[in-house]
Amino acid sequence: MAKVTDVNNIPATGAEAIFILKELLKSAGWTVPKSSDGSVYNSGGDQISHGGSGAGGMANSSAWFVIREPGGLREWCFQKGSASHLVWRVKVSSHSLFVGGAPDATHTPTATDQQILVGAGTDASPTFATTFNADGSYAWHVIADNAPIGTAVPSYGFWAFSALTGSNDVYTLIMQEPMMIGTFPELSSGTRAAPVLGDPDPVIYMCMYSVDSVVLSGSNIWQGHPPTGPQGWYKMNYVGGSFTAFEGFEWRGLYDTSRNCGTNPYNGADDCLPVVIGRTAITGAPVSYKGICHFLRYAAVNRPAPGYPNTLNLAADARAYAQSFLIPWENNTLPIG
Amino acid sequence: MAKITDVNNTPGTGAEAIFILKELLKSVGWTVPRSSDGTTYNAAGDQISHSGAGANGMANNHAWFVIREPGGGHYWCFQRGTTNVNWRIKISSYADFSTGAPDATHTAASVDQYVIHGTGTDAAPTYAAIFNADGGYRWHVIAENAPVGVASPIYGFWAFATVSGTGVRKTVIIQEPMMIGTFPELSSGTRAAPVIGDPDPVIFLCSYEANILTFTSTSYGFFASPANTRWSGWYKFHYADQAQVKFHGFRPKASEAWNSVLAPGGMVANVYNGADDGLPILIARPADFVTSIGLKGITNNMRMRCLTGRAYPSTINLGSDARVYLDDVILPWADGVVPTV
Repeated sequence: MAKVTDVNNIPATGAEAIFILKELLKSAGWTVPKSSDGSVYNSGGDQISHGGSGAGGMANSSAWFVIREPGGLREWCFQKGSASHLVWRVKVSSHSLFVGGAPDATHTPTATDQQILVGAGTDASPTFATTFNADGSYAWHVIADNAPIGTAVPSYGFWAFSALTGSNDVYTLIMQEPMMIGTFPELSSGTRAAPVLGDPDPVIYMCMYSVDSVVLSGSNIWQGHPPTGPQGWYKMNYVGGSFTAFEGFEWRGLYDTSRNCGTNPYNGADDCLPVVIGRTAITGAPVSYKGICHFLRYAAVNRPAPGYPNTLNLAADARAYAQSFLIPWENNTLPIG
Repeated sequence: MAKITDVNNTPGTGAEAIFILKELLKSVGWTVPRSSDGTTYNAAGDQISHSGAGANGMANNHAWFVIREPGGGHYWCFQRGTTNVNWRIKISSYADFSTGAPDATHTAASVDQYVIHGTGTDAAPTYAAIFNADGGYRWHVIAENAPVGVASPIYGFWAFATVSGTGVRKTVIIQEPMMIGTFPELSSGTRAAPVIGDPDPVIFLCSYEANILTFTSTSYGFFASPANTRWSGWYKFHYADQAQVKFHGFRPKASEAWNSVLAPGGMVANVYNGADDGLPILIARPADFVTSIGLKGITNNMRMRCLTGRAYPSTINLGSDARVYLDDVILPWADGVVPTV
């Protein structure tokens, strides 16, 4: 298991940012089974070879690609909007994969279990939503793990995020975060298609653009009511299953939060605390506990916002602050900011 | 690692309950280096061979014993007062209760001792109630026979009383290790002279009060005021700024803005296997403690319940890895043994 990284980029456009994400995931073993540069549909591979406009470009209106996880369990589908590089429509398929619909140069394929994380509309008539700050105004970082978490349902983590030049506020956050083995019932009977016992999709997905993307206080994506940030499957492929939003929980006492514990008294480091994922009755049905994040942590130190570009364990097991969260980071590389 | 248990007892007295605890701990490797039956001081062993009154009995005024963890990392000292209900209990996390002026009615001292129950001095001890009226409760003792950790091995044990007929929790005596990986292990120096890491990754509880195992009350439990919480342990044991302190327990909660609490009690049974997920408890001293701030770790054995409506004598995994509900927490329990109310 190793992190594959491409950080400290200053992409000229959102199209270049997504191209960087695609290339990094491919270098970690992901594949592109179908795509379009907005003019030419490629039903068997990657039609997009650069982040600009024109032939083979990501920066063309309605250009899109599907990218498949190593092992082939999950796919993401990214489609650029019109002339703007800021607006996108992003979908995820956790099992069925994007093999249906009527894909062409400007229309994405469909998966029977697809979920739209950003944007709206239909595949035939998609609408796009802002996913990036103004072109050229942010640093862009992509980190992926090249080995899966779990064997019953192997899940690959990745994280892509932006930090606004000047303020260092984290806005865009795209991630696939596996749950930690031992914190949820692994699939132990049946299959992912027909599970009998255990969680057939122990991951959460996120594709956000907000100044509150990773804040742990106030009403935001981790604590929205209902939550609007991390999403995932409640009982995928069981009767009554649904794709739903989850809350991230931090550790709180009566008077104080664990973010106010200070640095560890023994080694001076910020403690990396686990993030519990679930839905309570106050969040609303379906009430459920999902698990504890495998990679994502939050700090036991209340670092002043935006947190970024602080790091932890830079040399050996680097993490970068994004507000109070700690996201895997490239070892020995200081974040620009 | 295995649990050794002695549960569902109905002791006739508090002295019998403590005797049961002593014998169970001895059965997993703890030893008694010195003791007294209230009349005869034994400087090198266990003078107490039964729980009643008279020679070698636990139920004599001021009878006491020191019990030593396997490996010698921790020592507890129990002294009976003038009734079976009242006791004075001390802990030493490194020194060995080998000093002071121990005799038939006075306990040994330890340079790092602290009184976790009762007050006064070793010369003039004051006792406090730790048990219900004699004969009115069940008594349960569970201990691990192998330690958690290598650098600072900790042997967990849990003893608690439940009122006969109702199952209401009363006395609780706990030594709970922190989970490896949730605190910096001692990696440089020794327990006596640590350089890096926690030389005492454990918390203790010895209490008879209400709410000590809850996350909902400001009296005594995980959410008590810094002065009132009963969970104790060392902050930077044997470092220059060491302090014997109290700790808070933390629960997963979304925000202060609305009461979205995942545990305890905020979940349904796990949607995949129908179980209680039983989350660990984060132990720390946050900023409102003002001094000795920091994370202690996450509990290794003790969990918080995720479900509502569960209480003693409800259990989890009774057949193979038994746990029992007790207020807001879930404690290790005897496999295959149904708790008695």
